Amino acid sequence: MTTYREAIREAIRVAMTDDARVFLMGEDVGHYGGCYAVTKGLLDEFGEQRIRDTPLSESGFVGAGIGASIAGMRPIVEIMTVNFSMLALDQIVNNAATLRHMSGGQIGVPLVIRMATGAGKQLAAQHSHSLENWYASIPGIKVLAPATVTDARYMLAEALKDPDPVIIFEHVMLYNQEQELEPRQDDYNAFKASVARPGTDVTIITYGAGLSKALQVADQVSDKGMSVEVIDLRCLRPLDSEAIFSSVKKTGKVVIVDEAWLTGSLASEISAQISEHCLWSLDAPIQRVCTQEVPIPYPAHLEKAAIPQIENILQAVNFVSGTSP
Amino acid sequence: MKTLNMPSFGSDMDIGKVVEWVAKPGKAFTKGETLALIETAKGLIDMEAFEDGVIDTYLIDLDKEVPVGTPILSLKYEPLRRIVGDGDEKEIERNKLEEIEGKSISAQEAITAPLVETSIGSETPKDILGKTTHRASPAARVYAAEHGIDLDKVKGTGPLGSIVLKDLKVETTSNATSNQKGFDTKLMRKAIASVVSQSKKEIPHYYLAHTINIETLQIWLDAQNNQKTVEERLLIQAPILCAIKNALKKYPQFNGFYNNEEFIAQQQINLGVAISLRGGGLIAPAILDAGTLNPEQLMKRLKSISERAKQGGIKQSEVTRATITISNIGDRGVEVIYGVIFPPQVAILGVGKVQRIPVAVDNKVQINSMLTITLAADHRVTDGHDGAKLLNEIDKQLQKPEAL
Amino acid sequence: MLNNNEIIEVIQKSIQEVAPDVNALELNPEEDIRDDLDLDSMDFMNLIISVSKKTGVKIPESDYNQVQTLNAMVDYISSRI
Repeated sequence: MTTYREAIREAIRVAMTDDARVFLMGEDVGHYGGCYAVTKGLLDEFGEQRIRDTPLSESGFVGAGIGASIAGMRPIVEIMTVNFSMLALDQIVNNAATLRHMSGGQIGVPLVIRMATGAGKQLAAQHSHSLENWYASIPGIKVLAPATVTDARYMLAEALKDPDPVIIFEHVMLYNQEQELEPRQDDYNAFKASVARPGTDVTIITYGAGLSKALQVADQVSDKGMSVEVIDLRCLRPLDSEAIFSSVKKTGKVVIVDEAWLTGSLASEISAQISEHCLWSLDAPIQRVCTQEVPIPYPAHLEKAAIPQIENILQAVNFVSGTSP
Repeated sequence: MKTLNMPSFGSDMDIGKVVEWVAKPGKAFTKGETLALIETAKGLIDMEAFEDGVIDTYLIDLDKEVPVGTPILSLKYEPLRRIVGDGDEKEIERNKLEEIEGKSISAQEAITAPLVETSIGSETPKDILGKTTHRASPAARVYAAEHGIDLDKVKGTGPLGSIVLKDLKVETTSNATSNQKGFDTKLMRKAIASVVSQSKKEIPHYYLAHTINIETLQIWLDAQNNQKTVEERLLIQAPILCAIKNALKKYPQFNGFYNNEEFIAQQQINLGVAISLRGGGLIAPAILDAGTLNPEQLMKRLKSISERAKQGGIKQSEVTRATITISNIGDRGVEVIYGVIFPPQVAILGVGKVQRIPVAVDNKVQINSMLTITLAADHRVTDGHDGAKLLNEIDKQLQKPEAL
Repeated sequence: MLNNNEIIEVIQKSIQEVAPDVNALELNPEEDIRDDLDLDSMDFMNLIISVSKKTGVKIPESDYNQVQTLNAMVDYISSRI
């Protein structure tokens, strides 16, 4: 059994061992061992040149990462959490995502950015955002969201191979998640969705921390004879529309679980695509289970009430299937 | 063709002339090299290359004054420094770019491209949807249309009381308990006896038979089915029903009801399909409003009524509104069948078994697939001549299956 | 991989689905299924669909003559499963 944290650490280790161009930089990644202890021990193994503690300046070190990648390195930039990435938004959106286009193809930015994301640790309004949807709407970058230990282990290598910027979102509540690490399959594809649990009556589409909640709901309702299919998106940009439509056409009933605020969420985008492409297969209105539109509260019970919980997902599943709870 | 134009060396420069060519045609030049000497009002200025390339030809004469922007040089090929694939720099010729990056489209094409990308598995809207004033899910509407279910009569148990798929499937099985489940063979036999007796007593039947060469149809059908999934395959009944209803449009005197000494042709074509029930018994529910259906749609409807005829769920409207009946004994039976007209209809068509027999085609003997189709019709309404025309039209339709 | 007995079970289940009023166990394995059980072409097609789905073996129309009896159908499927 491996933890999500250990899987990521191993992924970074292997990447750095295999390719001298790879290095990691971010706040507290070196001496402190990483804010979430992901990079613990790596400084001792690889030294200060390759595990670089940066100053408190997201715009600065993301920019440096962009420059390093243009110059031929393969940097992994760790932004402590998505909350701080906003300080580097201009670098990410206006430089990393657009330099290939603006240079007429002369410059590429093979940068990997890792960020922790999400709520659940009572870190309150400014430190609990889920902004995957913002990044997933930007042309020029790819966005990954590993929800399992296996994906945490193998997605990084795929991201490093990509000649364009890739952002990997690690949900804070997943770091301690412990699962069997599956071996990497030959046809491993980080950029497609997967059917985490096959079913025939209702489809739940989710990513990141939503996956384990969706699977628990699926288990609960299977006792009542309802067969729920759970789709783990895995890649948020580009979205695996084919996988989504194929499941929706099978069940006709969809619940999308997304920890972002409801308005403008990825759930909204998926909802729009489903109504454009699968209208005649829908047997019920599409349900989005998202975070309440409030700044994330600090008290535990209010934080819990704001974020999608198993009860909310269950309610949505019952609604679309016309069953009473 | 890539050209280089008379450059502007200042916002106030409108014209210039090349006074000396420096780069020669056919010889490669690199970025930064001087290509030509240009005379402007400001004096003599070097025209610099911004990319590597090779000149093809000079496009203007020396010492000719031309406006800024006029093409003065054409280039042979332009290698492009580009980062591709695994992140290493590669020089690629511009004409190879399409291979790597795909065809580019013009701006106009980009503007007028369809709004919803139809390549990722989009669905085309169904032409016929179940209509109702109640809330019903799109999937339920499609199902209702395909199975001829009246949504106004269905109770919805979906979200907000809407009619959903499971309500339609429940509806048909509840009918079953009052309908077919353990149907009384004796009662059914009695009912059939009554109908056929009345028919033979009151309706003066005349009979016609016509053998149709369905070689073309069979070949078309096999080709169609090869491309379809198992569930979508067509039985030969589907194109035959299609041919029949097309022929009825031309000869409406076979599609209607005879009551009170008067025949009234019907606009709507409701094809009654005689289905034999295991254990004895016959039921002839109709495919309602078959006029606009294509073979695939007819196949779907045929499946639906067959299923419900045998397992329960035939609607009253389906058994009382057939405007003509088709009896298909060909399945497991014989070559020719003459039916008994179900009043108040005025005709019944019989479709026999497909036979592979030797026939004369272009003065040569060939083995072709043949089918004998018969007509039993009410002589009060039509004559043999009309009947022959109808059968010939069905034949004609079946010779062009792709147009069905 | 299914063995022959399991294949027979699958076929019988499919027959039961397509024609619930028929006793699939009474089927004579050497007789034409359609004659023995009085199935019409629609029933037979539904049977093929059901068996194909359950075993994953595709049966093109041109092969219908190879699956006319229970024994023939079992042989056909077991050689392709």
